[in-house]
Amino acid sequence: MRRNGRKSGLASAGLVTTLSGLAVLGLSAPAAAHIIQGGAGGFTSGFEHPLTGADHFLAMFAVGLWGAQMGGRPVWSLPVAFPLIMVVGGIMGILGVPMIGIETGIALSILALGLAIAFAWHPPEWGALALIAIFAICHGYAHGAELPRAADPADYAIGFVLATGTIHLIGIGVGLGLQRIHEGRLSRVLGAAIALGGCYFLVT
Amino acid sequence: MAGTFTPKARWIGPALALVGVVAILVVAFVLPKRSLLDWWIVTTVLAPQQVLPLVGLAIALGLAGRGVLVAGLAAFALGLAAGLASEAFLLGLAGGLPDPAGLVTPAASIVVGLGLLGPRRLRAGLVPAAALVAGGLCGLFLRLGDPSLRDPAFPIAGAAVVCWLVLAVALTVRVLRQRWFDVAGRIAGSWLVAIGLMHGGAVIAQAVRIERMPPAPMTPTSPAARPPDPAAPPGVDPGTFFPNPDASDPLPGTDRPHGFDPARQP
Repeated sequence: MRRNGRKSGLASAGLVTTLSGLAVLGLSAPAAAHIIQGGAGGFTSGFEHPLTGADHFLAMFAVGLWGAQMGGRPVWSLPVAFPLIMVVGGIMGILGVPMIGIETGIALSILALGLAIAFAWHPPEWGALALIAIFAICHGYAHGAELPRAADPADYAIGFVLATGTIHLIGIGVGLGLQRIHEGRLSRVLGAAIALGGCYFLVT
Repeated sequence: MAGTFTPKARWIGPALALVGVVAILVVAFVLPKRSLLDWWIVTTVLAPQQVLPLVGLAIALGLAGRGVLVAGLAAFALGLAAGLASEAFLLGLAGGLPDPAGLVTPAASIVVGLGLLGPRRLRAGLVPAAALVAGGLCGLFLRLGDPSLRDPAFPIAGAAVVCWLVLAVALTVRVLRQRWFDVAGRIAGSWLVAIGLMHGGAVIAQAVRIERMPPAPMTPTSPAARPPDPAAPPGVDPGTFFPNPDASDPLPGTDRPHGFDPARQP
């Protein structure tokens, strides 16, 4: 039993190391909400967008991780609410409604979500939903701005929503796994690393 | 719920899914020559934006009770038939929406997504209603995408494929059902609503942009800008005047050469 615990601890440490390594690698990418300036493509382009940008990836991963850390209904209510609210920002982007500070908002979302995880902040569900709503609008705007220029808007929308949801699910999976080890301290360490990533995006 | 089936009957859904997937793979990758109908099924009937709401609907039906499953399947079939039969009426319902044909699949995604997201106690009513609307939109999509100019084989084959898809996925979900499928269904519902709203928003934005585009500048090829044709009889618009080819043809009838025809070559 104890050996099993040690094994799972080693496995989780390996997982955290891998994830941290990936996060560091992600930081080496250009630090900007990568709103594609030219025309976007179809499914592949939409699917790649949240996956290839460390900013989007970290924020959406953090949403899943935070929900798993809070437990209960937020495990699924945060990832359900995020794409729905993201649509509001997306439609603003599609319509070309001028918005300033999108990149700052995305960087702040990473910082705030990382800090919430690091300090194991458990606000009421509506508070958590309100917080992610603000950030989801920034992320949605970045996606929506390039959607009308996409070669195939349907495939693009399907691709990026599926990728976003997949990252949420990865975050939930990692969060639920890490919660069982060292009373969730590893989740908090991962949250701190995400917050550092947010700082990096904020200053660059 | 899966207990309502006998052990062998439980596997009808997965078997149906497997047979259908193999058939599609054979048509898409193995057949040396594909007909227009094969191409249409693979590229239009099974297009991602058309398949996603149907899969969502099938998940909703698979997660519902037996009565809702039967009612939902019947509502879907009814809606599908109505959509295939009343294309003009359904498009008329769209009113002044820009590009109503482009909004068919986004609307289906939103309706099905809301059916999946709805509270559990309301699902007995929500899911069959969503199935009826999704069936109608699916039928309309099949009619609008039909390249055959009213060959009945196309809507019949398309309807058979979508019915197979819904039935196979719903019965498979029912057999494999786990406790966490309810949460997964809600997450899938939110994705569908988001996809539908974003796709629909993009379609409307594109249509509005095209409507607002300034008219193309006059070019020498446009009839009004063309210089007067001295060969045109007086009183005839030179832009619309073209000589009748048959009247000036020295070889009228079947003997007239029609250009290169491989069938007539020695």
